[in-house]
Amino acid sequence: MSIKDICKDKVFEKVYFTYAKDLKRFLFLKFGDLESAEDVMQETFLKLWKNCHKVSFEKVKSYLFTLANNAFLDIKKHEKVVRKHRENNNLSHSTSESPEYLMIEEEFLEKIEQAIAGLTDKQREVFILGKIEKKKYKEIAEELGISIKAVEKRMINALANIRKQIGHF
Amino acid sequence: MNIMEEKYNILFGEWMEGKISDEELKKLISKETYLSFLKLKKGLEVYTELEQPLDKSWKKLKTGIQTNKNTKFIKLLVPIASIAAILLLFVSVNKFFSEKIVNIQTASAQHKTYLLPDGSEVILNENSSIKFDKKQWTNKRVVELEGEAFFKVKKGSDFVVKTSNGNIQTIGTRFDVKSINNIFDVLCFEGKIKVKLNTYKKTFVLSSGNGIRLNNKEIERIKLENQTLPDWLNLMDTFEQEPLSNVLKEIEKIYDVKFKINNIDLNRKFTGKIPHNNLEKSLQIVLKPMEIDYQIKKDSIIIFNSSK
Repeated sequence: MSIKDICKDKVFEKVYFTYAKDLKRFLFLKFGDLESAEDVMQETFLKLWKNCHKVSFEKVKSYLFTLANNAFLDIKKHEKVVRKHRENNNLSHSTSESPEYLMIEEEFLEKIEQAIAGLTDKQREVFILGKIEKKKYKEIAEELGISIKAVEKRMINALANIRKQIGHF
Repeated sequence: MNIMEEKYNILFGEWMEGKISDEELKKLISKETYLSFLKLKKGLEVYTELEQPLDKSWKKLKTGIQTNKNTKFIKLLVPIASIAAILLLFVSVNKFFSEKIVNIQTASAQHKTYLLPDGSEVILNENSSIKFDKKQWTNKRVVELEGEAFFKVKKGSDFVVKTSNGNIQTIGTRFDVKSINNIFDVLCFEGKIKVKLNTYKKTFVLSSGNGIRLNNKEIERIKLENQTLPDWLNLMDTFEQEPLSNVLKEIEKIYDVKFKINNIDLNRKFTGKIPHNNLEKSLQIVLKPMEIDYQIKKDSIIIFNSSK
């Protein structure tokens, strides 16, 4: 048994923390919605765990992405079947997917990432604590030793700055 | 950068943080700019969600794995004779304690169609959300709703929609529920539903074509005129100088009807809009200006020139 045995809890945890984010982003860009991405991402790792004996540490990344892609194709196939059934039964009405302008593409996410990196240190700090770590203004104020009003001001400026950097889209 | 853009950037920040409402914002900027605000807001939501620390989801996965391990462990212990009995016990206990809460949400100007585990359908209007337990679905069809949604319920066990204003119960039907703050509108389009209000000890039974509106403390009965879908799902087809033959074909498709045509000039042009949820209205919009009459029979609609 190799040192890097995925069936071992610690190794499996490391694999998860290494690839989960990328896998979820990959799935989001395929499905277009976060919930499906999260669901399929979790199911993929569950499948990895069930098959941990069969996968070597070196091949784990391609295994995960192949599994995820197959799950995506499977679901899309099922959706086609459901749609066929609808048409046959005259249950027609337009699919209510997100309007065009709300489709989030990879390029747009990259622009946002760059814009956040381009914030001032103070703005980025508040943005990450508030929007990514989901901390409330009060918590942030205590952590940074500033007033709640100051947190709000920095957050608004951070968002304004993000929009400024992204420019026209 | 010009002053307007700088103003818009700050406006964006203030709106994101809830210092300005949607209504106030719409008054200050063009529709195009508003859409760009919505897109950036969604982009940020997606980005931050994807960048979330993994601890929570890792815990969730570990629970899933543990459940899986338990299943394996129990199966190993049991002598073959009692496998059936023990598995049954495990499944029922697992079902009792486990749950999988699914949460579906829509943002502004967004509709979403969701297929529930039994094939029933929910179509969510903007700024709405539903919550239900996927694991318990075969026993209990219960959906929690905030906002507005149209339900197409497959016949089966009791289907319950819970809102802060009241509950709706049915076994198979189509209805629309709107529960926003103190407003509670329930419209029944097909079948029968039971509506129980939280504030009053009254239960209303609504059959197709009927609705009820609760506005603060007032209760109003609503009568639907030949509608098959709520207004917000009302799709329209637009025609411009379209030959009547094509328009009739379209109506046949939308409403699943067949026309019997008596001596009509099918080349006459029609310009206008027809809805998808009201057959009578559609016929009137198209045929009346052309002085064509119609008669709706059991398996066809006969159309003929009006006698003057």
